[in-house]
Amino acid sequence: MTSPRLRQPMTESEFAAAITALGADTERRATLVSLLEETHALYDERGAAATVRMRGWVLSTLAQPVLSDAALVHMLEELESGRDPYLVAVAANALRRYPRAEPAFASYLTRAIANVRQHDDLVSLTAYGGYVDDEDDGTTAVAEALATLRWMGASAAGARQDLELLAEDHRRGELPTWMGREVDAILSAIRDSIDTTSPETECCALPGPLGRWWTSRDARRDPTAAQGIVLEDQQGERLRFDELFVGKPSFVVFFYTRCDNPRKCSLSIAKLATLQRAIDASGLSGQVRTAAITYDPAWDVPDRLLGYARQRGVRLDADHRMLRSDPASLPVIQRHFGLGVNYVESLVNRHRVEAFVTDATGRVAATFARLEWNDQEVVDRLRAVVDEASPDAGGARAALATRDVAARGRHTLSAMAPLASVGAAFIPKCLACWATYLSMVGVAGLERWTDTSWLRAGLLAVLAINLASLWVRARASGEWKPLHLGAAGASLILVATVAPALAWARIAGVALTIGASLLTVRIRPSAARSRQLARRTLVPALITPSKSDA
Amino acid sequence: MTARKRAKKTAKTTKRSAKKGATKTSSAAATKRSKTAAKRAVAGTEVVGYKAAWRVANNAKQSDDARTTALISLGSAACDDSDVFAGLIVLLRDTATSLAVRLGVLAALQAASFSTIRFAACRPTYMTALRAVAKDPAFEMRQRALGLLMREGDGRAQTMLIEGLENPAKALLPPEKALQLLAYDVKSEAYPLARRIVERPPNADAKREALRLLAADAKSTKLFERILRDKSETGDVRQISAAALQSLAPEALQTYARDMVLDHAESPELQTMSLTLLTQFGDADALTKDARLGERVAALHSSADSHAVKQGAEQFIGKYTRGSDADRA
Repeated sequence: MTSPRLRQPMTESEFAAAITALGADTERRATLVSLLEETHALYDERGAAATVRMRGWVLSTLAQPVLSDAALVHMLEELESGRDPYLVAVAANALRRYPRAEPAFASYLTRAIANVRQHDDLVSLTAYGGYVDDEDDGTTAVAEALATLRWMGASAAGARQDLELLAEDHRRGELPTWMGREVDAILSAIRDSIDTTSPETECCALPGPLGRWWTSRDARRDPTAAQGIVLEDQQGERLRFDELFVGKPSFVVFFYTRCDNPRKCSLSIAKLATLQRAIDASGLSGQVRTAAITYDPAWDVPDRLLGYARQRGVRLDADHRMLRSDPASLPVIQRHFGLGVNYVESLVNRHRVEAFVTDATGRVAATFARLEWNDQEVVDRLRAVVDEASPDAGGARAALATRDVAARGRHTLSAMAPLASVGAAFIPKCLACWATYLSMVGVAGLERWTDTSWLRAGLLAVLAINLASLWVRARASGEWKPLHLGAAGASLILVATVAPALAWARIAGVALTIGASLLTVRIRPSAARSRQLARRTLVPALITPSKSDA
Repeated sequence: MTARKRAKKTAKTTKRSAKKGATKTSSAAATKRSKTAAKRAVAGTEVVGYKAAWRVANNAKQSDDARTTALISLGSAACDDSDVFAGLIVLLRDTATSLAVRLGVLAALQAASFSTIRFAACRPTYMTALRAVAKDPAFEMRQRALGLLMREGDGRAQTMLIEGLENPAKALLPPEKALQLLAYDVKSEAYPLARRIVERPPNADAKREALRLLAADAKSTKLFERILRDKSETGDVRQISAAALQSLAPEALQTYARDMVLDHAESPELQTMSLTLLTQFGDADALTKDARLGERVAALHSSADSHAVKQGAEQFIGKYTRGSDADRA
């Protein structure tokens, strides 16, 4: 039988029929897994509730007759972070069709019970949408999770602690009788099978690195399209993608403040805070950045980003930011990271838990998707990327070194300002002044210093250097008072050279010049403006990125 | 035993007890009963209370008032006692029972649901029953059930409401009520419908609710800007648009608010709202230096006909001219 094609637009009834047919088509059945990608066009402009129904039908079809490895991560995802009773029930039921009872499943099942216990529902595993019409029909998410734990028997030992807490709840009267009986039966099976004479074996690795993949340097997506995108942080500061993510590896997590699933976005950002501490403890502080980017840029204005971060203890500074892009640029961000998110109008209808490690060129080097990451695996991956020895990394390090040189160049220019002003102040501005200086070292050769034209040229040059330095600093900081003072001082000094009788002009000019230089050294330019200015300074060659940075 | 079977058994037991009570008239029996009741009262007044209340609530021969009063006193027993819970579900679904009693049942279950931990075991059956009464012949029952379902984010209720907006023959509630409930879920598929209703509203209430629903969607920003600037729109609709823009485009709203204050032909309601917006959320630096706006607000403060406008102007002046007065001094 030829299964019907999946085309847009299609009603949910048509979709359900098409999925059922695909499930029965042994040649095309494997394509069902691709229908679980959030970005699939079938989910475009679908509401969240419709997306749940559609996903649930695909998941339950995929689980028949055997649950494949390709589908396993989607089931575990629903158990770990899902809140919809229908999807959790489908996923819990599906695990019983996996070829073996993996011990790692147990903690996912007890997590699912905790997630859904207080808003469970009666669901049908055989009707599209999962709705039941009669209280006597159907099953519940908790019932399915407990049934799967019972099926696991002794393999569920990894969840013994969680189960004993549930048993405690039952003794306190917080569980219905049937649930308490199930928990007791599962615990009995675990206790009966525990061999107290043999040492505890390590529990509970998943069958394979589910939801994680590392991308080799050669295969990483070219970041060129994303480089020019401007993002705004929680303080309203606007920076380009390359300013944020080039130069150091980064950990980037995605979220949005209107996410109604506390096991997804809220938890991800709270985990970001703990990861930041883990990064510090690992010695990588200063070598990597962290960032959280919103899926919902139109709604998540800077104040919302700031509040959300603060409530979850996220550190915020130049290397740690909460970001939003321009809504029009969001598709570029989506493509660059390969995001798992879809929308109805401007609202997220479904997204996966996802975080990424980018290398020093801004390319995605590692993806953590669907299942929660743990701090150590992220730190290990960050360290691996930091330690990467490659032409790209060399280029990135060269770029970093180049930027350091540029920074030193800018600092040198700034440091020159006071010296130039002092020099300008002390250069003799008249023959008598020169006579005074020279008398300090002896009168020999005095008759040779009667020509003052080069003195004036030298004075002008020094004053010009001083004013140029003040101008560079003013452009970077936005504070123009020092330049104005310096210009006034230089003017008075020049007046004094042509009218030596105006001693006050000389003294005032020197004072203003020195004051201007001291004032400019105290004012710190903003990082953003410094970078902008660096492109147009007197030494542009120092900060031009090399082609190997691309 | 299914919930229905349990409820039937309970109903039979209640009938049998009622018969027994009617035939036993001896004083000895009465004394025995009162002693038993006293013992139970010592043991746990709640047990005596809720069981007696349930007997009244489940008795069709009792008046509606007596039954609804009894239902209120069930408390957490509405879920804790599985027989009582099963009986409540049967009553809820029973269209032959009076509406007042059925609404009382709903209220009792709703009250019990506030204890989320204790109610967890009852929730699946409760939600299924709510979905059944969402299509009840009685309007008030449908409205209450759909309201409770939508607060829980129920997808089936959402589908029913959207179907009713698309096809009035299938409507379970008036369009304005359906839109109001759909707004509980910002991720629904109701946005295109809501936009159509804004352009061609069946009534004014429906238009207002459609706008409130659209306030969650950033793609509706231009629509709200257009409505806010359109003086032919009613004041309440323009105010809803302003409230939406406060979330979607707060900086643009400040510009519009300024324009509305400066506009001599603008309505007092919108001017009052604009003054409040500028006072509460405006850029203090810019507004303090805005001489033209300051003069206009001063004029409104001294000569506006509307008391609300004058008050709004006074608050604005109090916030933004104090600083400049200090500078001048």
